[in-house]
Amino acid sequence: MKATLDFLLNGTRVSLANENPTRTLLTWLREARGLAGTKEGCAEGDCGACTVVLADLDPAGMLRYQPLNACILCIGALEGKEVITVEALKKEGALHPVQQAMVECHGSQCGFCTPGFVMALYAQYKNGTPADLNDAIAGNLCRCTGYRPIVEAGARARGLADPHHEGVEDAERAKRITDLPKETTRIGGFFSPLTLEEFADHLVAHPRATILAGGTDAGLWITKQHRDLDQVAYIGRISKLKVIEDTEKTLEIGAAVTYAEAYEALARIHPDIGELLRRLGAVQVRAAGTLAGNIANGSPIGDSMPVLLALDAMLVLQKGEAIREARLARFYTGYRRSILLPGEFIRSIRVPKLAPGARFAAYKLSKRFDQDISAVCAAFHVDGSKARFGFGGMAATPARARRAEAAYAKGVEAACTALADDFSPISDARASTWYRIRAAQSLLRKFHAGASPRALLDIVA
Amino acid sequence: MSFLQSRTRHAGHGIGKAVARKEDDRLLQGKGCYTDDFNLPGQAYAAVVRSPHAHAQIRSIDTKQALDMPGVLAVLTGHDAAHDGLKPIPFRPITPNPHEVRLHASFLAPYPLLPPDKARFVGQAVAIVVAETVMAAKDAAEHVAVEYEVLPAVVTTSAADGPRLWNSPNVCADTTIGGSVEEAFKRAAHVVTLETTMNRVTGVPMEPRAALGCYDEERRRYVVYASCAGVHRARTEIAGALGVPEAEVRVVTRELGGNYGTRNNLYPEFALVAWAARRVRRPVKWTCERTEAFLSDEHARDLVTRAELALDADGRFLALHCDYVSNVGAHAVSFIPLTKGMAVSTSVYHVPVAAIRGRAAMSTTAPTTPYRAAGRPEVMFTIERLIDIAAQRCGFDRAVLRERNLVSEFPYRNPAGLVYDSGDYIGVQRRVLELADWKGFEKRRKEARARGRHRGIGFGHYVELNTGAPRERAEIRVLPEGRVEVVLGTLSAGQGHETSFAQLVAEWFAIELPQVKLLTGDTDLTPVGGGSHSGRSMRMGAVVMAHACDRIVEQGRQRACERLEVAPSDVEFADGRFRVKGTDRSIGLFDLGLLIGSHDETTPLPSYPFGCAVCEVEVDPETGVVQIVRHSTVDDCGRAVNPIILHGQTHGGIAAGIGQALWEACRYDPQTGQMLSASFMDYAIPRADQLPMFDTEISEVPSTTHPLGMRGGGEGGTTPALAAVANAVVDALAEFGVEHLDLPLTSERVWRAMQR
Repeated sequence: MKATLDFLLNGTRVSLANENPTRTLLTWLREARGLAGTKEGCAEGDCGACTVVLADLDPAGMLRYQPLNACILCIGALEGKEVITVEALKKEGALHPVQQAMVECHGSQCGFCTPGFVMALYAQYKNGTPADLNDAIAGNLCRCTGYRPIVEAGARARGLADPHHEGVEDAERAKRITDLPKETTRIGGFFSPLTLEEFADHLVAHPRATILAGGTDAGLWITKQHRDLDQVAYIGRISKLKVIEDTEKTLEIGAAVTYAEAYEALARIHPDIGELLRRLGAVQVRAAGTLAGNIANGSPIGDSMPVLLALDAMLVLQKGEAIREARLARFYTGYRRSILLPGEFIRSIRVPKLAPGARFAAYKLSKRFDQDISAVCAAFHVDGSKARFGFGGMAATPARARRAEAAYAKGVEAACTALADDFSPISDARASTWYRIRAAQSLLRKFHAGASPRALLDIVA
Repeated sequence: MSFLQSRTRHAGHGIGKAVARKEDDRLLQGKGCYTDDFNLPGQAYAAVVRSPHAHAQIRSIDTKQALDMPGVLAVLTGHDAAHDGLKPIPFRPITPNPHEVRLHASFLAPYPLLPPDKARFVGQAVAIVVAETVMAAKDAAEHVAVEYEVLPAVVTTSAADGPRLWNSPNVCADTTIGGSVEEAFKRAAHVVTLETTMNRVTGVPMEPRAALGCYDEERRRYVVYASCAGVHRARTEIAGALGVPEAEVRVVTRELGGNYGTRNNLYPEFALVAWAARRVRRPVKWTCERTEAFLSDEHARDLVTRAELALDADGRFLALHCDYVSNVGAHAVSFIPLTKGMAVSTSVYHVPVAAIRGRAAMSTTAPTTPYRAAGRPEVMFTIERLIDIAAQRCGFDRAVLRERNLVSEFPYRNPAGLVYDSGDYIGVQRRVLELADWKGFEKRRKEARARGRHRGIGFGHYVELNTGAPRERAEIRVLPEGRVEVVLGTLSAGQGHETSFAQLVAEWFAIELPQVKLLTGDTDLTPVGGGSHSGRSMRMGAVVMAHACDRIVEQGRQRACERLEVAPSDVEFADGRFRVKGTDRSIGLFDLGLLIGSHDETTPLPSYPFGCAVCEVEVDPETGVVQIVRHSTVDDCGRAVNPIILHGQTHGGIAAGIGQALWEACRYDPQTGQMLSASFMDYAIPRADQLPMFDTEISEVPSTTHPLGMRGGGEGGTTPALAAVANAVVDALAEFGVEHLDLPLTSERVWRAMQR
């Protein structure tokens, strides 16, 4: 057990003993380290001006580079990783190819969003993914350039010389990361264990602790609600929670697995799931956020739950050594309330795969394609006589449309009529009650007609 | 010969060359210095207490609980401000420029830093808390107990005769210009009308506003670091609000993370941090949160228009009648969008007579101000929509109808009395239609239809009315170590001034770009200047720089002739050297000691950039989603200094125009006056995947009223975009009988239009 936070910052080892682990990386960089290149544009993960790159070893031990929003990332989540900021890219007088390409394409005007774009493109350059550059910068907002030169810069960077010998640099970085201390950390009320057992015991002893995974929601409690999180248990270093178990019938996803990590396995269940995940936040949010976090938070507009409800996902819950299973469909008891007991946590999510012949579709309606809040999110699954329809944005929790499911055997119109009895959604600036009901019914008809969401642009305003 | 007469373009990195920006190396490394990046030893932090009500009497403010909280240094209210003699910000909502439309106002609502009596929009500052840390200040701000008596909200101009904000009618200005149109409308073969409400939008610079103020008691001097668009205007307005002479205020801005107009005017916080710093005897820093910015940044557009166009049987325009009501918000900050729009209502078309009425109406909303082409996008939208409606109803070809009415002889005096100096409106139309393959469109429409999409195309012209703060000054120093310093009163908000201004000097002095250093953004360094707005920086900067460079050449010539022992008339300056005519004897510019030239000039003469944009869209009939598939523009800014930078400005302008046309809107709840779109999730600025690649071209018809032929660039991307997008969408929906749709063209609005 150690009482320091150990990570790397731009190649240099950092060991912090007197820092609050729930301090955001952005304020730490700007205020404690004087690295002001990383900018705050919104402090809620919407604009990407604070994008930094985290390098770490993936569960298979391979070096990877991920863009993250520093504004909502707690420094307690950095252990075992190297933080790379915009200040570190120019070396020996030579700009990095993505920076050089940005100059050549005139990708920067006022320059405020620029560091965030540079880092998002840098991650894309390092990984070669996402292949579509619009996806790589979907989490970054720019108000000056209209984005075209930035997209061009991303493409051009690949063709430029490699002045920094990236391969050599990668090997050195992987070594540095491997050498970081691997020990459970406790600093005041902050606990960052390496094993599941330690975590389970800790939570029994501290049932009120906030479980921190990606922090894409908890980060906003800090930046927007100014909450002091005194008891926090970080699960991102627990290897048993980072596992994806892929068997013939099910996919079991550990609580600390990020969207980015779960993406491929989930998309294999059905391509619609991949398409939906592509629109869940943007690269920065998916590199941090987890399915379990989305579920545990229980936001009525969480975008992963409708799919999981339609697939009838099971949650594996653990308290101390006791493990129980619960249907996601029975998990919520009210607005942001669930059956989780004090000291209990979601250990993994067991997602049944589609049976041969089963029909499935997932849809998200929002103002914009990328990184936007759903007005309605829906997933439909029909397997023989069994229908399961999961919805977000229709009630105080993500929910199944049980009346519509039952009526579906009588025909799609009967199900649509029943759907209006399943939900009485709110009217707000994002969508009216009337709209939400009509849209939900239309999506059901669309599913029934066999339309793939990718055949249409599912965007509304 | 003066550099003002120079038409050469020979320098490798000189005028007209698409050189990469000098500032990029710094900005790409995150080394730009924005206001929040400044810190001073011992600084305290301010948080602003904002009104949660659109309209409310402030009964009392109890600060005790907040003052008792840990780390709190001060809680300051409107009463404290009044006690200390603070004054409303000295805005000049009505332009004094004699070339522009003069609005007659019955009342100009003052904008106090902290109102002692009444809050008039949601998010208005009513008190500030100063504390040791940001969090302590924000925590304490939540404990400032303000007792409000809630009054009815008025958010639209249609409710302008509803509850009053001030002891004066809500319609506070009313002016009609032009002539009598009645006779022309009587004899018209066709009359088309349009009633439209232009959506309210806001600038959304990515850098949230910030300010850091300090007070030096020994020297009786305030220093304010602020994210403003021009340090001199900020100095005047801060000094005015604090009630001190301008000499007692210094304003510093290094990098500005976006402006687009909505930062031209002072914000209360910039003066409040200075005042608070004096009160607590420590520097005070304030940085805006994003939601605060949406609530309290100034907004734009929000114009209700009723317009009629009269045409003869051949489609010649006979008269235009427009009635505008501009929603100016709770305080009179700037009525310039209204008057600029009035002045160019007839755009690039010859309309023999026009009657234009403009009114300003107050409401319980954030004040409105210029934003990306102040006032012009609204009126271009109106006339271009009227023309398309006329073409559709009366069977004219859209392109032919426009061409028939374009102004083709210059100078041209428009019905508002403006004199367009020069242009080639027909030329830009023909070129942009070619660029957009207008002729090949029907084939693309059919192809799209086969895929189940409704494709449409539309276009629109524009003319700008660039004026802005008329005074600018340059001081240029030639340093013997081989560098040239240019001290200028403008300020870049991303327009690449360090590069384009250096290009002028590189051209004239035949030196390299890295030798030129631009110094701006500090009132101590640059005593006079106007900042960046209204396409003024290069337009005015180039003139005063040319004069200053002329003076340097004169000085240099004097010294050179002494060194070379010849008469001044025998020495010529070329390629960076003073040469004795007809010999190989010469001396270099940098070999003559320190040379300084300065020039200060006030030129209110307007400038008229113009151009034309074509937009092509596809509409999904099932969802109403509009996709921009192609957008082509030809812009004329007169003589272009750096085409890359100009294209960049156009791109950003197009994106802002498309954003307003399709998605963006500051929405207020009509009952409560609450703003419903105060985050990036609900105020939908475009993301990368929503915009196509743009085809942008530059036309260079030299201005005849500007000595260097410049018109000013940067706003033309936005100005015609609203009209071009709307015309394209309406074209796509023609078969549904749609004649007009108001902005934004959200999928809901488009989908509903298709259900009729």
